[in-house]
Amino acid sequence: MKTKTINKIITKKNRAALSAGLMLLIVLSFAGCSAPSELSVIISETADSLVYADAFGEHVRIKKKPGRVIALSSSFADLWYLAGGTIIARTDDTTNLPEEALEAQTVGPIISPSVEKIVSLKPDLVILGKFSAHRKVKQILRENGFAAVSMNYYNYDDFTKILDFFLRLTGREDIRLNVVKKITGQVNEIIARCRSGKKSRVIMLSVSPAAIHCQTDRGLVGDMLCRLGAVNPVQSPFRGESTQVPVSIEKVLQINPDAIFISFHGDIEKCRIRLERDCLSTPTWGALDAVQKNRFFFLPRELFLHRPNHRYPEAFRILAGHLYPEVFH
Amino acid sequence: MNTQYTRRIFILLLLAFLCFGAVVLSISTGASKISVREIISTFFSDGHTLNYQIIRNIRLPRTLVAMLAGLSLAVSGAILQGVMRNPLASPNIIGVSSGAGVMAVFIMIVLPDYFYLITPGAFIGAMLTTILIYFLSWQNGIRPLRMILAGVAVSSFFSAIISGLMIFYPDRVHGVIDFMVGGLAASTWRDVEMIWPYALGCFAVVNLLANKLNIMLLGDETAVSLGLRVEILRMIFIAIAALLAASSVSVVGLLGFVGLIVPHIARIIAGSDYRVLFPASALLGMLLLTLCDTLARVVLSPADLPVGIIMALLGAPFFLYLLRKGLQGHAA
Amino acid sequence: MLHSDKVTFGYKNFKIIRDISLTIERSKIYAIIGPNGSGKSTLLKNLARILHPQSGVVSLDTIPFNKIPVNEFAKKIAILSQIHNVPEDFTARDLISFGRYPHLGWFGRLAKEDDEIVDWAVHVMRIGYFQHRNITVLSGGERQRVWIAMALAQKTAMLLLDEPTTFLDIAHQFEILELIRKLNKNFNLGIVMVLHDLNQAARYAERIIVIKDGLLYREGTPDEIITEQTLGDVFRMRVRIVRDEMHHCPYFIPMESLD
Repeated sequence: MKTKTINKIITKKNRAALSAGLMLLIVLSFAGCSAPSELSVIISETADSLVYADAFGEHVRIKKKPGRVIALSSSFADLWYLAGGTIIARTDDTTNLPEEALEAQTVGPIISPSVEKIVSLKPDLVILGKFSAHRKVKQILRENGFAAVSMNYYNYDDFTKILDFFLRLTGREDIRLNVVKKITGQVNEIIARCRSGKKSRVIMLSVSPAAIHCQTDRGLVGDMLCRLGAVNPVQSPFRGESTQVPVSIEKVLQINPDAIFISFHGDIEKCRIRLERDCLSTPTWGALDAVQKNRFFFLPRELFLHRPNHRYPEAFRILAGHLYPEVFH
Repeated sequence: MNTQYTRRIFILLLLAFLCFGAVVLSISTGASKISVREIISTFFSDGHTLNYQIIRNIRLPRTLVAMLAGLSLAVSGAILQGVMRNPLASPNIIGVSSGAGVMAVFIMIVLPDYFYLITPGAFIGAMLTTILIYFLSWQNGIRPLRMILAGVAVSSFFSAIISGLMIFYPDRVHGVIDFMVGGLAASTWRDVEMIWPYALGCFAVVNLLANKLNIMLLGDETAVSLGLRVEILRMIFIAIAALLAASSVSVVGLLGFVGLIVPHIARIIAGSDYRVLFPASALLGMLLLTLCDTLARVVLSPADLPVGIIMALLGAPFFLYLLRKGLQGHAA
Repeated sequence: MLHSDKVTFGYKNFKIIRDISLTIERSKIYAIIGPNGSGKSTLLKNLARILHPQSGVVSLDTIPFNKIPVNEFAKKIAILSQIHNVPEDFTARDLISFGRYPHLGWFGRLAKEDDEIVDWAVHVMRIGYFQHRNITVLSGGERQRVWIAMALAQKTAMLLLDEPTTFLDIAHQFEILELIRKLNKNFNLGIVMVLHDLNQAARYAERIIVIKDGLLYREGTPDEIITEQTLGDVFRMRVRIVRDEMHHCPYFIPMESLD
């Protein structure tokens, strides 16, 4: 007879309400949870060690001047070398990898490194990215007493913060004074000069063989353009976190930007074909202001797809030149 | 009659022995070479030597997760194939995979700072989705076909959500793919703690109910005639299957192959009687997942392949081979 | 004995059987007949507790069904359905052993007496020579004997059968019906069966229940039911009734359709 009681609970009318209730319950189960408050900051520092809150908010104590360092992402390896350090192992990922790091041994591909290999190398510090595969690796390393930090590198801000953190570990004040100050100095100078220019509305198209999307301010290039004073009408819908948004050509026409920046992700020929098919061959494209004034620009990969790192001034200069031709010749 | 009994016991013992072998193989395999004697010594030392760390904190939890997840998913699939009377039933059908997937992906992509919620979130998502599908397909009782269709609809809905999220956050996609394929990389003791209560508890309970499932195979009307409370039992079995699958999927990811194919292989080897099929599926699931995970670590070392790929690549042809040989056919 | 009191069953706006009140006495053979869609199977399933009436009460020995624990009920009444699914590797004997389920303890293991009862069922239904073969290799008639043997092993007082002869050839139909009659005579097993063949009903049943359009049309002996009047009314057939002196029952010869 239990069937009858269940029948009374789940009638046809109830069903919709119950289902909605369940869905709500699923969402609300997050209500009581909190995110760690401090991310990617140095908590405290002594003469020979410091405590760092990494990208997941975990506090990690690291001894200064670590000799055996493993970097699981080549961007961080690059920054680490910039700060005067060296690495003993890396992953198969080689974009942006400094020459000297090429000879280091690998612990596997970037998305599935071998924890065992890492542990057996007895590192003093392991630098990981923020995605979930690395998060699990970090968990095991931490459980075994290794200093492991997850880093987040989205844009120029992160660049300066990470570099500062690395410099405190390597203690190379000379690099800070000579190299880093020079980079940030040049970037600030470019940004200052832009203030006098006429502001533009811009959009950035990320072209892949399969689709074309618009980048938001959160992405690398978007952030740089924003600093240079350009206005990006495409915003990310969820909590401001997403880096790209699918947008139709019609919408682009409606926005009618002053300038369009284009970057290719993936096979260059296929991307070109995609761009040709979806944009260049359409009549609406020709009607865009930006196209008529010839203000659409292709961005080179090594500066704008991969992190420019020590070439930030160059990258900023290129963008500024496109945005304010009257200021920068 | 007696020969059938002894044959079944023999098969179970053989599987158990092979399992033990797989465990030993798994613990002794990895990126660094450690001899068997050194392995045994780490069980007695309490030191913090490198070998101890590797064996105790890396290989042992991983092997245990492989065994427990293999057991849970295989038994879950066996339950569902009986309750739904459908050879294509697997934990995916009752929404466990899609529920766990959508929750895990949602957290990974939209709320990456709440990473510690991924496992419990996936578990809750899996259970709530099963309850949702159960509600949706209730009409004076559960007709298995309705539940399968509701499961398909809900899965499609959640898949669409996942795809949508991946478009907006392309830089966070590869973590998602990792989860969807299913892998045991970097399994920790916390993962073991997540799975073992459900795995062992549900397995014990389900073996007590095995004969009832045998009778339910004969059809609802026959089962009622023999005095079974069919709807209640169906609910209990589905709940157990959901618990088993949810606890594994939330830790290991969406390993589709185990729940679907392992019970069939077990049925071909050991027969359809659930009193034997449950332990056989459990042992076979443990065996296969542990072996495949070991292989996944070795094949492209030091790269750690997701085990789901290896299982599908090896398991599917093996299953087809067994089908063609037609040793005992499969359940209707 | 089984008693139904104004039993109605159907779905929201559509009733399959309405207000059916009848009494099934022990140890007799009953047949339920009626045109297609009249509700015969539905009535049988309500009597077997497979379906639950929307209104009205079915009771066994004056106790209403819902006051009898499901397990106890299974020791008193068994039903043999039309549709069967069986895994391919169950043997005939395995299946018959399931019939003992209501009598087994928690762990479901067969005691010596359970085995003896299974042996007995095997013997009565004459399936000794294939009891260890897989179900799926048996013929339709052999399979039906196995299912009846399973119901027999349940050791109930009454057996309800839903169209037990429908998919069998005439030799096997005859064999099954003779076996059913033997079970009733030798073991006092009450039988209620839904039959399509009216002549079979006339020959083997002691009482016939006629259902038309979901209502109880009439209940009586074969002589009372197999009449030109009844068959014309219920089945819309003009018939000629003949007496089978050897088997002491009427049978009908169809003449023409009345519609």
